[in-house]
Amino acid sequence: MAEVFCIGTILGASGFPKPELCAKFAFVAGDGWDIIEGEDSGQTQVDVPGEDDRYTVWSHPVDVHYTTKTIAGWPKLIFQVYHQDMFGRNELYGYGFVHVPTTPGTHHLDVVTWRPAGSFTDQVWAYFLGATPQLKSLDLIHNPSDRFRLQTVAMGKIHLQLSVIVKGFEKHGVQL
Amino acid sequence: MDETADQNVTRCYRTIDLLENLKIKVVLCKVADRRVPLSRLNHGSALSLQLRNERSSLNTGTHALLPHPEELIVRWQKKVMSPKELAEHSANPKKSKLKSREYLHHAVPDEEAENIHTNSKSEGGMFLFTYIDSDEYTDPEDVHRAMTTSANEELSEMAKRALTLTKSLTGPLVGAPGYHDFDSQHTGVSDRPIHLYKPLQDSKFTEMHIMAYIYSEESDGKILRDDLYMKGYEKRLCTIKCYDNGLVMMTPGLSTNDIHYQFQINEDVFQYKLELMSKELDAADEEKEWKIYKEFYDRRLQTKQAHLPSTFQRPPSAPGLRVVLMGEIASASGFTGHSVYIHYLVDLTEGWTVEGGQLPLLSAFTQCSSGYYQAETGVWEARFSFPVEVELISVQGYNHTAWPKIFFEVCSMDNWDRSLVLGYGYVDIPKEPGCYDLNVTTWKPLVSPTNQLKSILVGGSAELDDITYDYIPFGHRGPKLIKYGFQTESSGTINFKMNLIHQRGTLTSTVEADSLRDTNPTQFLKNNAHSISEALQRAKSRLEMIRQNKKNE
Repeated sequence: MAEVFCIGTILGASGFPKPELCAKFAFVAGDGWDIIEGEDSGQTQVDVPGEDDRYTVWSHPVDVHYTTKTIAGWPKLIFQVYHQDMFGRNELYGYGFVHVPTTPGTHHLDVVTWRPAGSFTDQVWAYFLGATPQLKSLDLIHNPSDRFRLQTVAMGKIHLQLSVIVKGFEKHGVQL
Repeated sequence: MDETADQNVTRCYRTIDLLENLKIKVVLCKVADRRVPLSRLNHGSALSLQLRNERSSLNTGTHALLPHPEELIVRWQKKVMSPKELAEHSANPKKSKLKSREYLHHAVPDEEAENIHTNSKSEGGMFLFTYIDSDEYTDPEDVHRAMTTSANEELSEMAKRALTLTKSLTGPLVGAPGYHDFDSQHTGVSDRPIHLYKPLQDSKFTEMHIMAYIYSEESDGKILRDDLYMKGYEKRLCTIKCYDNGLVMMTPGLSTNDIHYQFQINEDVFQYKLELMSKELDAADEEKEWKIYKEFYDRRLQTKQAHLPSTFQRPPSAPGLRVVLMGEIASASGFTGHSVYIHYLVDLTEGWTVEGGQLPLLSAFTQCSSGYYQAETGVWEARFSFPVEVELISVQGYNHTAWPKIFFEVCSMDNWDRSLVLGYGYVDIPKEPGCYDLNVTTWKPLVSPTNQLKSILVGGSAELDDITYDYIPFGHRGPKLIKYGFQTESSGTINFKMNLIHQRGTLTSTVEADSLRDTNPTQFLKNNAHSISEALQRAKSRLEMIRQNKKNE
């Protein structure tokens, strides 16, 4: 048996077309992984930056304790970024994921994001009504198999800091 | 030497006991008045001197003129009424707070009649009483304490808010007429009623105040006393705040042996001390309590342990190696194209196999991504966030010379859906486990101007027949690899993040390892001389042990 502790902060985001953003996040792991403490998903607040709008600040805490029977299917964090406009409408701004680092220690991570582009009509629709197409299944964020069907637009980056503590791996011959 | 201490200093205590067990003894004593001035000699020790006199019933001299000390044992949230409250109650029982259900609930949980004490028997004009949490009392000293020598010091709005942070303003005061606010009269800051501040519903602490109600002689020597509207001074002796986490804050703190507190009203000087009267925990009880704590934490640990899986993925048999690669094609920058996609291929060299319950994807296409303009560098970047997860097994482990590689092919789709190759690159899977953030540089074949024109008009581009040409072309034999004659043009870079985990095969005490040794000793010898020497060492030490044991016998 082995354990992984993942403690950190979702610091914020930058590089999105508009800075009034919030993010939904969730931990995803393969079979054999279980969360015994902490919450596996959450949502940040909507941050509306002031004058300097290059950086959105969330400072959202993340704290989970995993146990595992295997090294395959190492946990990932998946993200959905939404923009909230002045009318309170939420528009999808990006999907992204990052592997929880496998080396113990503190890591600064940048997560690049993308969103489905949609057809020309979709884009006109989105311009006026603020409704971009979204994924039907969130599996696609972290699953490589069907990605080639998509046409996407590159979006901004999510910044996070994760500290990873591992326990009980070395006695099974695992080197991290 | 006795000392008097500052009454405004807050001291913090911590308790793991129930608050109901908190008991505090207050002793209040008048040490000087008009007739008996405070002598310089016993300035500090007046209280203890007088207490000593009390005890030995040697009430002689000037001290005989002073009233007896007042004493009260205060239990947590036990209401002791002041003469004024009692007068109000008897004058107008309907309006009295004692009737309020909430008040009763908070103040006196069970034996109400018995618990609502009155302390009106005192002869010396001093009464000790309490304000409990539901009294919503705020000490005027907290609000109107002057910080400078200025006569007209005013409290800033910010300070007011900070002081009443956990308290909100409610309706107008239904206060006692003739209420005599000692401190506000003196500082002249405000005649605002002090009962205005009501703790919020969800305030984090409960508090109580130990108070003294004192009739004092005015300078003309007349004692203000009226049957209904008695005029006296309310003086806070101590405020106790208790938080949920067991923090107890006392202003002022408990008096130690030599320290007590002093205050003055008109010409009368008073001293008081606060003592903890709670029953001390005896050793047996303490042990019992620790046992409960230990049991609790042990059980918690046990439940946690029960969640831990007992098995773990078996390592491959030695000297094999399992490599779990969790990578991410993050972005591709510097490629000129309307929409860029990447085709990758994990190239397994001889001796490597793929494992995994899910269909292993050794080759796949990312999505088509339009570019993102980076203002700082002036470079377009396509972003993918595309997972590459492979679990590889090698029989020979670290003895392999050729490690798997990942080849990348960056392509773009133009406006007419024609595919162009923008770059080729490859990355070696590192031999050390860890986290890697790699930038893979790429190149593309250089084409002649005519071919370029053709590419613009008809579409398409020069492509490699074999993607492994990037590294060592498939089927290459010979001592030297020469690519002279092949012209390329450098292209953009791919950002590839990688996490690598190694699981090394072990020999010790696994059945598999033993069987391996039995069935194929030559193979074993060849592959792992190191393990052999280790086994030899172990056998030697065991022999030593047996010899030792025999000697001892």
